[in-house]
Amino acid sequence: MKPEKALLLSAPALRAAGPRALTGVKTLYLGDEFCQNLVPSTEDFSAALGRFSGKVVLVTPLLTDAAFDSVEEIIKEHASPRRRLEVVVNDLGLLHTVRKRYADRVAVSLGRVLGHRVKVMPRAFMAKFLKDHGVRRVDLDDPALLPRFAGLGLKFSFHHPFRYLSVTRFCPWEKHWPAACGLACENRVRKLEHPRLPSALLLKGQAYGVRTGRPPLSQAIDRLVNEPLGAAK
Amino acid sequence: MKTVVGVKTYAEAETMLRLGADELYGGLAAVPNHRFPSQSFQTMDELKAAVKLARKLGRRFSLLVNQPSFGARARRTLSVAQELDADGLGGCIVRELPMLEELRALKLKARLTVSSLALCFNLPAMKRCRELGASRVVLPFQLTPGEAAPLIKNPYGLETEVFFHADFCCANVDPACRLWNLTRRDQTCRFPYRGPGGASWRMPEANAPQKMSAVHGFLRSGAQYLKIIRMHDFSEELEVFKFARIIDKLYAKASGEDEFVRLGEKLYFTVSRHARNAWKKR
Repeated sequence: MKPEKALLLSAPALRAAGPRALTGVKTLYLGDEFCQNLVPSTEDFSAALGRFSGKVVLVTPLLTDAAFDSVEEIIKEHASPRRRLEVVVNDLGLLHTVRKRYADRVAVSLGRVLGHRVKVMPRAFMAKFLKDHGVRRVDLDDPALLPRFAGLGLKFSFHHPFRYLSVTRFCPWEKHWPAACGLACENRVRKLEHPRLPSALLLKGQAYGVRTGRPPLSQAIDRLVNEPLGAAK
Repeated sequence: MKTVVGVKTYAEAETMLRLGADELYGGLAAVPNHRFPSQSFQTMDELKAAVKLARKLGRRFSLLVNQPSFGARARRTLSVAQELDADGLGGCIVRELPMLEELRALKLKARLTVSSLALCFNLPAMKRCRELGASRVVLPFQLTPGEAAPLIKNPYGLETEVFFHADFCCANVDPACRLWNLTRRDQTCRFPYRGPGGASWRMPEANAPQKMSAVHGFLRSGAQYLKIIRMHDFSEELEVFKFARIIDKLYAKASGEDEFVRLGEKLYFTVSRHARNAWKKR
């Protein structure tokens, strides 16, 4: 079966996107896994639901308390037992809160940052941890991680063409801690080079990573998430 | 504010305790922790002696268990913690949930501290740490004082430690950073990159005034413990420790944040020069 097509956009990027941007897209990933300034507001989320007829997934990064509240507001407003909201979770506090309070209305997908912590758990512990927290899906951008999570009844979303390698909270675009954000990173990717690097490093939002090739062919991957890089400069 | 200082030998432990360090922490080379083995105690006997010395002086020594370990290495880690516990170990600094649960099950006298590498960013995460038996959380480098304030004042009775930002602050979220995998080089984050048009570009981190401002914010928020990291060069660490003690006094004396930042920045550059020289030597 062909994997479904998903598109990852932040709320400002969705606002700026043209009418054809969502053509052929089955699932919209709204938010960001690396910067809490790009956690959508409830209004952003409502607007996305109004504009896009497919499924909208809420994407969240590591969260401080202020951003945590925004995520909870979206869950309260847009998730119900009859209409479960899929949330990509990268924060242990959010994972725990979802299990405690919203297990009946949120479908958890393990995010790429948190995934790297879970992958190092002993196998039996990992299986129980994922089951206890209701994780049914894992977001990945590195095929090497597929075997680590294989055999646990999970579905996989594969991100391309950007593989994250590091994330910062000191904004590389505006040179400050995550306070007042001027969205200087919007629609921009910076290419960084060094003789020791096998390929150029890309700065995208608050994440550093590399451009990847075609997604791997794997039966386990049922969703491909396109992360537009624009013209890297 | 109390100081929590990293050491890697008995002599360093003795020196820091004599100079007034309130608590010590360190790793054992055979137990996975978040630094090179050369930055840890090399033998169990030496580590035990340091633990006993701290205990004798009524201070706490914590063991670093802040790197994932599996199978035999995990079992070794647990047996080291148990053995040291019998000699008066004050705490274990833990990163991963499986190890936290295993240590909790051992019912040690040593307290459990959640490492900054566990990325405890919010109150629900703090609450979870408490449920898992932790009594202290080391706040991640990358939280601002404003973001850390509710965690410092948490209602769960958890103590909090903050890093001495004036000396060092990892620009990237260290446990979520895999730049090393790309180059097999430490400090890939500090490479001089070429950006668009060939312009020189470095991964940014807070500058001296921003770092001093962060220290001021943490002190104002009521952070109880200030953490000084382990360093290859102990003379450098001694300078930083002394600097931290002065900063504490400066906070009490300065009329406000502006004065604190101005005076602290002057002091900072003394340390910064030293750090740069040390880096060149590597």
